[in-house]
Amino acid sequence: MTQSTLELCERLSAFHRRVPEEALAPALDLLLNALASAMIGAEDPAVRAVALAQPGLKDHAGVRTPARLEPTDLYTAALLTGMAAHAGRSDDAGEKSLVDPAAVNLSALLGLGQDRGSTGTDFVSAFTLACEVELRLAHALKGAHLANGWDPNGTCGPLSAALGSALLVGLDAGGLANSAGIAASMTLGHGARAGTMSRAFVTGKAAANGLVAALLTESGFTGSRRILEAEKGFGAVLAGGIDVSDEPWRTFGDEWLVQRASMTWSTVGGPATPGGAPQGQVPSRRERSVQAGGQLRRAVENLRAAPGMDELVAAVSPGAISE
Amino acid sequence: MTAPITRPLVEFAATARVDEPDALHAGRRAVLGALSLAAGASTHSAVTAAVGAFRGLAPTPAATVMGSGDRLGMAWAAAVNGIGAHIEDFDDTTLPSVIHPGAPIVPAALAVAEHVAASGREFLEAVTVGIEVAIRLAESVAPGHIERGWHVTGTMGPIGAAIAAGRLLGLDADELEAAFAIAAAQAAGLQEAFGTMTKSLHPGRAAANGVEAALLAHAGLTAPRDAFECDGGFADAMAPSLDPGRALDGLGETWSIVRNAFKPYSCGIVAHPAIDAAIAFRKLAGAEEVAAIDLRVHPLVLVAMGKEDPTTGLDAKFSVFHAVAVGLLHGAAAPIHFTDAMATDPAVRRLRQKVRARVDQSVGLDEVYASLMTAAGVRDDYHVAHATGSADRPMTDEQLRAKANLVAAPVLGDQGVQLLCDAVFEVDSLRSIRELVRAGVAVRPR
Repeated sequence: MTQSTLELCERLSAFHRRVPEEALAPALDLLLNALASAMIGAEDPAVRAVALAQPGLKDHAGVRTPARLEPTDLYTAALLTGMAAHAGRSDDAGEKSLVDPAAVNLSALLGLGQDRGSTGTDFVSAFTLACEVELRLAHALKGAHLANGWDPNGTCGPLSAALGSALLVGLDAGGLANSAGIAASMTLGHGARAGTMSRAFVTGKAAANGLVAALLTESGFTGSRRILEAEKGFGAVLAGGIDVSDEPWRTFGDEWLVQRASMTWSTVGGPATPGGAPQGQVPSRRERSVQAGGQLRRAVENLRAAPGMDELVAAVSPGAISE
Repeated sequence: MTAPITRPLVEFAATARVDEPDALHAGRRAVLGALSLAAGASTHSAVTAAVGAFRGLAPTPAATVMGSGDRLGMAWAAAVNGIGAHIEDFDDTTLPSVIHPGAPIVPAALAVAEHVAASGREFLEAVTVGIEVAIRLAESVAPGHIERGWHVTGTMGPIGAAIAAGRLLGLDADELEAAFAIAAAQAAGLQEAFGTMTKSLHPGRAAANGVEAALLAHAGLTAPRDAFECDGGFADAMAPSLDPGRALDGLGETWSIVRNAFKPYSCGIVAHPAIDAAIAFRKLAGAEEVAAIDLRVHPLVLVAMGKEDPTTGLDAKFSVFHAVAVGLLHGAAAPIHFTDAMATDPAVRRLRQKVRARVDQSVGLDEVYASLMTAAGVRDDYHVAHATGSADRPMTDEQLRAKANLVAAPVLGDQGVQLLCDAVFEVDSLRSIRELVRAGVAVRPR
């Protein structure tokens, strides 16, 4: 049982690099799906608009984002990847919560892992735990939270992305809690309606905000370390008083919600988990190309034992798509 | 169905020619407040931590951090200046919503204006209009929005910042409405962050998000219309009630910015009348003679300033008990009275334990009824109808110059602060805002 933000963070720290196979395997399926989505959506007009708004992007030396040519800084990488993963329309949806944890957390961690020279083990572990956090938070909120107009990717995503990023940069439990405290002041996502680009933006920005929260913590910036249980904290303000400090975490480590996260659209070599292509939708040439590529699937399968991110980054490079 | 709010505001913001002298002068005062605080805070640990975290987060350095002269991406420079403008809780405030408009909006406008080399007049009008929109929106959802636990500077700041930034980028009304929506969707900031550096991140991120929203709208990112009042929009998600009239009445004819107040004390503004009373009590009794101080205050005082035993300087800024104690002990409530050492000072702790506060709905936000009882049984009552620095007792321009010197001289030097003040009060005549930016940066010895 968890009763405070700090206790949750201590448990996350304890599980980091020790995530059981029953969680890792479905998390890798989610990762594969989100990466494929990000490749498909990489040239979406919304993604292009964001890239256009970044002066000097073409000349920047930095990390790589799926299926885009220009290297970029960590923040822009998270924003572009999250938007692409959402725009690619194949991101996963957590059961009964309409949350897309893989899109958000992949986007925060992919650039950061490259930047810090993370091992595949560390990356996969942080990704899995971050997805589990986002699913549990979103599952706890649902109902009124959604009815009030919130997109849970924008509210739960910054916290999970902050915790995943904090794990990846090696912060301790106090640093994780601090990161969550900062991220909770960078939530977003009401009024994001289908038919505009803003829903994709919410996914990307949630990832970027979580990343920024961890970077700020690493630099010594302080935030609340009791954001889940505080009287004016996350659950109290954003979810109308729902207790997000205890019940959502009671089965943490015993059950894994990542197992139940269903894919609405699986793009890589056929259905990786139950779901598959929605009826009546015909994959585009770009989608078929990504589906046909075995390189990405192999890179994801190899990630658990990979010494770094190179194989994965190569597998999502623009050259991996032949339209 | 709620009356339209977003569209009338963006049409006003996109087209308004600001020629009301009082509104423009209120804009100049907001600029001076924000930039002097940001320059002075450039050596604060919150600001240096933010610069450290943000330094690599932009393809191209495009805007300047006040004081240090660090160059960052436009949004990130705005973020750092916003953090610096707010970290001492010494910045401008507008009652009754308690929004601090300068910290998010001035840095956003400055970053964009510097990048596009806007004129001083264009910059000033953008700031004035952005602040006007933010104040009006904040008042349309006050006080319920704040009572829910939101920090209104973090929730309305992005919108005002986007308006100011969008004006400087030349967005038309449709683009500005998209920028408004992108920014409004990022309204954030929990009161739980009060007492940590993250409170100052609220205006910092608001500034950055406003800049980003304007740039994205300019680049073609689409967003919902009517973002403030639509189903599932800002008001639905974040406020129990919405009064469109407070957002729109007299728009373009009367200016809310003229009631923007400037703080003489470096803590939450709703504690200021109590500090006035504490300073007045010094004539009656020394701290060692005090048996009790009783305050009758507006309800928001204990919502925002109710920390009874703060342990850090930042925490102490949200304690009316600490504020009264330092007011009586030191006759002032400047940044040096809200340090970690002062928060744990035994004399301060003893005195603040003697301060009691009870709420009274009939007491104004800038008002207090205070009673001091000495150990010898002598009682004195003191009523502050309007706190020093409030809209009804505003600080003069000369007092604002002195305050700028207090906060910024350690970084800019006395002469540097004077140059900054002169540049701000003559900003309309500047051909490029880059002249003002240069005045806000410390001259390093060669």
